Amino acid sequence: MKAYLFVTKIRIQSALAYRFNVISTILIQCLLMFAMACFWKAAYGGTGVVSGTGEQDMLTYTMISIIMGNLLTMGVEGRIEGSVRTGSVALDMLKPVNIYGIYLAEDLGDMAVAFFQIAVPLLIIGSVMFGFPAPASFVCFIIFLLSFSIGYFINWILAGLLGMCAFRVISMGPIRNVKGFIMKLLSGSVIPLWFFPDGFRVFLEFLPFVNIYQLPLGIYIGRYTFEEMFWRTALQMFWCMVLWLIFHAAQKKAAAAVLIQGG
Amino acid sequence: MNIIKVNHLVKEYKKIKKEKGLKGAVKNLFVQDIEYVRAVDDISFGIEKGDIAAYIGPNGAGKSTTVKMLSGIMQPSSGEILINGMSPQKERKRVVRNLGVVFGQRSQLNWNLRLGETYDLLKRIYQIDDALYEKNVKMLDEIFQISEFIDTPVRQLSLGQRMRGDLAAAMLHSPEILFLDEPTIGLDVEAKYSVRKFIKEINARNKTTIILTTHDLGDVQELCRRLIIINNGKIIEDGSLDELADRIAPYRRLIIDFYHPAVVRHPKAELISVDEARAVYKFRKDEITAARLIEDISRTAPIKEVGLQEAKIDDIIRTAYHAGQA
Amino acid sequence: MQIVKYHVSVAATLIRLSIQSRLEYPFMLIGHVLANCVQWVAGFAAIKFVVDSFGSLGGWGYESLAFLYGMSVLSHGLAVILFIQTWYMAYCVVEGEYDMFLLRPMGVLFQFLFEDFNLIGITDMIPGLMVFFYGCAKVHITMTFANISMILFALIGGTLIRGAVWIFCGSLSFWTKSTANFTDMVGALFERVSMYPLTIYPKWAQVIFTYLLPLAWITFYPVKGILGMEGSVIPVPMAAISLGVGAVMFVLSCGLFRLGMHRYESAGS
Repeated sequence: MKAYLFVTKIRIQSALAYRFNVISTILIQCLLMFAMACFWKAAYGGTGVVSGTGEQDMLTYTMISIIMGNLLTMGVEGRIEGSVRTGSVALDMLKPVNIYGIYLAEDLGDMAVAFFQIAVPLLIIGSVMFGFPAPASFVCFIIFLLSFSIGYFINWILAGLLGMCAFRVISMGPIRNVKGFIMKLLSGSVIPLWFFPDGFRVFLEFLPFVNIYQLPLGIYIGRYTFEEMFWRTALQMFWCMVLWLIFHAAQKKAAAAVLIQGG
Repeated sequence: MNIIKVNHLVKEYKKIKKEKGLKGAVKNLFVQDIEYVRAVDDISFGIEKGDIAAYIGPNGAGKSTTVKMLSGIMQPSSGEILINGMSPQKERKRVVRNLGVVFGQRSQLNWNLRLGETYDLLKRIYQIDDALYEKNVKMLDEIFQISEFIDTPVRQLSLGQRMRGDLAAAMLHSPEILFLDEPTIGLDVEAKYSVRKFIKEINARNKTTIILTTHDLGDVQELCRRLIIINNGKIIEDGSLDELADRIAPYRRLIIDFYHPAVVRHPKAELISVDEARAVYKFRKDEITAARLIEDISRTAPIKEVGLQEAKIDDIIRTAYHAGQA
Repeated sequence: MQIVKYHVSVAATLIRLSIQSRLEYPFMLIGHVLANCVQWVAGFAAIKFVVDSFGSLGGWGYESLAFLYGMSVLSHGLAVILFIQTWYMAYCVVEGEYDMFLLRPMGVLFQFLFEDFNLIGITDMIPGLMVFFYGCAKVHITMTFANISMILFALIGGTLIRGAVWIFCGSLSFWTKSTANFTDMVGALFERVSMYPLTIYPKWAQVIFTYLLPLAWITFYPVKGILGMEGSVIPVPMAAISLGVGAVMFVLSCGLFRLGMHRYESAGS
């Protein structure tokens, strides 16, 4: 455990060194938040409730979604791909710790940094511009935290799985882009699925992606009844477990492949 | 007539001091300590047309910085550089037209394409006319056999081939001056030999003036008439290798095998070891010649075999580095 | 004349070499075709869903939005073809990649601008053209000579504005010496300002995007002009102004690059 904590600490340290990156990230993320807020304000244009959600809730949804986006940055896929490309993957296998544990520790370190450096400033600036994005209730907030955590792992595992594709397909650039766009559209991070046509929406709600953004966010703004929350969170946990099993199997296979090919 | 002239050249860097640890990382967000470092500190020298000069020094001594300033990539903090009478900073395009530069650690060849494609581009950039281009490619092929791999994608070349490709690329426009920054770094014996042969031939055929930086003293011994040693940004030695050896390490060793074990002393040589019938003497060239010494000794005891050792170049250079630091 | 001929010959060779380089990796090309089609079609679908739910966006109907979106993807594609090398400027500064250009007897900016002609950018043009022609059909635009030239002006202007902003951001790394890469962020900004009508933003933001950071000239104003949505006060077509704005911004950003290059030379790497 100590080794993983150390990795997290080193990560925090090196992230702090990039002062310039931090300021520019905050600036651009604020712009994005502003743009998205304007987008929704224009769409609503004073009409009360559309597809079951009101304007203020939608603003809250957008603000929290952008903040979440900054917490959910995943280094794991890039790092697996990089270690395959440079051939350090064989060395990683020799280390007396689980390499994926290290990657997760690094990503959690990045998230801790992003929370203080980006999420908190964004929340403050967002509150000043559009009012504090308060959760629907305290209970909703607690369930949101739980749901966000599960969503975090789903996102991490998906990223890890994609990174592992590098063991087979060497150049990953376009694949990663596709994943980014699919995530953006299908997870409801930009536009919640309840604005989509019904058939399409129902189909998407059974995929794992909605569990990363839309479910926690929907809970946060109080869109779901308790019963719905329960079922949806259960489905989310189910996805998390299924993906973890797939990841576990893929990891074993990838390790075996490295051993055979010699990296 | 000096084709390269350097007067009181100085390069000063601003360096931001980073503090260690998590606390330091937080602190660095707010305050930064700035420190000035002189990478090149008041250097002057001149190079004659047709010379090969080695520019050597330990890592971080300021070699690459000097080469970068000479080739116009970097602005000096103060001082003057004249190449063919022009400043590479003020008249960059005119100066580099007559300049070939190769950085051993870096390549200007297009990684994905066959070597010849980069040459085609350079032909256009330097506006080399067809006749000269043909002539130069032919010459480079004679020295280097580049035609063996001119149609191979650069990414598939061995390090040695790539270096040959880079050297040839730098010579396509027949520059009068060539700067080579560690041209033999990482190369195997065969490739090193071919790079050295290239440098000698280019110099002999075209009277190309060459400055090379290197850590390989074999390069220096084989190629260079002139040796400039730099350490901590300052020139600490400048002259021929022989001069330097005479001054810093004027000793030679004489190894003598006698027919029978014997201890023979000589007033002008120091007997440093005796092992059975073998004796080792150390003497100064300026005090006695080797022939005289052998003659004197053979009068006392019959000699079977003699061996003479010059001071090793590694030792000379190391001594020079240390002297410079003191 | 001699000078023009010289530059054209070098530029042509640089372009030929970059196309050949890209073709060394044909799978990349296929991957990008897929990625870009998914990206732009999905992005467009999202706008459609929103407009279907809400009726209109900032006073713009679905048809005009489709045309706006198509124009935006096209100028994005052109900018990616011509200016992708600007995405790596920070890296080039930190790693000293400009040394090579300085060692050649030619302008650094010229070599840099033609260094990487990105064939892969045409993969943006495929979905771009799809949405564009769909939009054209939806708004019933007639392909008169005037309209075609306005569309071309707008595309060139938009491409130049995008390129200028990239060069501008990339040039900042001459001063910051940081590998910070603005590509994603600037891309997001472009998307928000060029794919949605400017009217969704408050007045003060509209003023900024019109005069201070004139991103609204990438698509919004010229499209408004082409669709004849509002008579402008000045008798010059919006698309022509867009072209002018692009040219001015491009020249300014090249100036900043030159300034940065001086700094690069004095600092070294």
